[in-house]
Amino acid sequence: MTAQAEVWAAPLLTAGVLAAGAYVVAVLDAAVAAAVSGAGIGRSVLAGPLRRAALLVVQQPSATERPDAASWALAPALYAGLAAAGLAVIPWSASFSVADVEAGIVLWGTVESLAIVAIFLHGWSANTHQSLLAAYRFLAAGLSYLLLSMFVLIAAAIPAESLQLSRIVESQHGLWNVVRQPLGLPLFAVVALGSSTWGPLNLADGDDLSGGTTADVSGRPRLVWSGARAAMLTSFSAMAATVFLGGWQGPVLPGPAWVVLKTLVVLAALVASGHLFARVRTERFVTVCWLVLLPLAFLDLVIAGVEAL
Amino acid sequence: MAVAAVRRLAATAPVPVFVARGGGTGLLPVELAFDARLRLVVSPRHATVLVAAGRFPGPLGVAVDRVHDQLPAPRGTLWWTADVDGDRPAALRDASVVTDADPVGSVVALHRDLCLGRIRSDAAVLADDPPNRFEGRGDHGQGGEGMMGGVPWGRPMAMTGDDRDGLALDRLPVVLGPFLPGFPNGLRVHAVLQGDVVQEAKLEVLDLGSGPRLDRLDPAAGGAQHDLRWLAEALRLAGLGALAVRAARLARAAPAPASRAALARLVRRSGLPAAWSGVGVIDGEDARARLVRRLDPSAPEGRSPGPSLERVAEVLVGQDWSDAVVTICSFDLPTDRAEAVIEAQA
Repeated sequence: MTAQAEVWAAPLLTAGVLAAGAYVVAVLDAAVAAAVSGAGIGRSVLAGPLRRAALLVVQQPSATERPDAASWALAPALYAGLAAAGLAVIPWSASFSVADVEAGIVLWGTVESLAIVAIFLHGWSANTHQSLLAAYRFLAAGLSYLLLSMFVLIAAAIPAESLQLSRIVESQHGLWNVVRQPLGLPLFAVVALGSSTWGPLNLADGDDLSGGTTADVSGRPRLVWSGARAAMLTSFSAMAATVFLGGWQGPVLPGPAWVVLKTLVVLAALVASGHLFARVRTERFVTVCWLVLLPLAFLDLVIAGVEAL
Repeated sequence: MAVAAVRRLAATAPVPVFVARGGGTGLLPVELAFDARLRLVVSPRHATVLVAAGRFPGPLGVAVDRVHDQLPAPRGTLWWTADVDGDRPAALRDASVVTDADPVGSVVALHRDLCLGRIRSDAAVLADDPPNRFEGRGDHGQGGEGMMGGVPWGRPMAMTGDDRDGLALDRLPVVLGPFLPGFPNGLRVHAVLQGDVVQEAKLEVLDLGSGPRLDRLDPAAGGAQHDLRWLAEALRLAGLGALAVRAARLARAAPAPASRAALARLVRRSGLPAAWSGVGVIDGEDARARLVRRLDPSAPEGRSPGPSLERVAEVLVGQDWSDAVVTICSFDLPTDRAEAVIEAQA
């Protein structure tokens, strides 16, 4: 009985955290939008996401001409599943994580690369112009930001001498990676925004392309997709908190509380950026990525290496 | 029971509205963004209510019918017009008509009634038939050559053609518009795309009709008001929806210079001018310059008559589609302008 309960507890915990995370993202997003628009933050900020979700449940899903129906249905599920797989490797305290695999960083890298596949598939399978154009431009950006992540995460693994996330958290005792490797967190934030196709890096679902990959998606499939994007942002924030902000470490409060708090701080910053910064131009972003950000990521790795010596 | 509860909750959601701007509205409908009871959405697939604003003669009416059928059920339509005797396309035949300045109350009521099942969702107005005959022609019966080309179901398929890098890649003819985000009223683009790069472009403005207008800009403050509406549209395009709401609110009231300056500051800090620099250059002026000119509340003449459609089409060639949309939006092409009418009368 206990063994069986343990088997179910891990996925339920992960799903629960992601669902809560998606709700928090929606609330934060509404609150920042209300503040920036000058409307003032009201109580509707809390109920709004639930109301919008209810509307999507009631709404009929769209049909297009000759879509790749299987991929269209699977892309949001794959994307949500990746967010969950990523969250599973996060350590919540010194003794607990859902899956503290030895090569946690490698597993996370897989999540990032497959997220690109899921997003492209979502745009491609509707068989409509705007969503395919959005998928194209997302892919150009995605292939450019992906390398940043590998460099900054490997840099974080060097002081821990391990790819395991629990060891990376322990290695930050006394000095967080955000101080030791100051380039890491900002570069990882770029990857987070890109992989969640959010704010200034919302190239896949941009309003200029009529909603991009979601241009022809309505009803429950759209609810799943929106939820998955918010969940992905949550997973990335938890990862940033773990790798750069010392994870569960902190005084007085228990470990999980610190993880949640630090995740919320990163989440708030990422969500706010969406309302304060305009969407990047794909061509320029790709150029900046290869010519500026990638060398900076390499520098981050060099700094970590030299320090380790 | 649970279904009824979900429907009641859905009825209280901010109403996702898709606005189709026809003739005689200018950018007025952009101001609807200010109201928290609504959410202006960029795709008809995301809306429960279609607000058809203005006149829809001929081909523009056909376009409204097509957009109408793309809304998912439950869906409803409102015709917001100053000219109830004008052309009434099939999609608007049973639509409620709003003639006053503020359609928000009617939109909210329509959404609520639709969600609660008090009224029936709009039926489709177009037949689900292929608009073109194509069967039996070409190697695979699709109407083209080999496995490519042809116009199955009215949609042209790609054929190979030379591109700018000397390769022979697929060239896809597409028709985009007239109700796309950032597009001026009635604009339709006939483009040939290779990947997302525009190879050929032709701009066409569909007939917007004539008669009474919904937007009556005050000739004294009209320029500033129009610039703010334009800004709301441009900001939404750039993913800055919250700032777009702010601009829409300012457009509704004669704003204090301080609040316009505050908006301009936020826009400058957003990086939007940088993102638009170098895009859509005509006569040495890029999209950034056109944006910055409209941000400045002290500039008396934010508007210019705009270049000809042919010149804009020339600039689009070689751009990726996202830049093409920015270019089109940045010119604020005078396809349907209250002040243009005022000037003509003066």
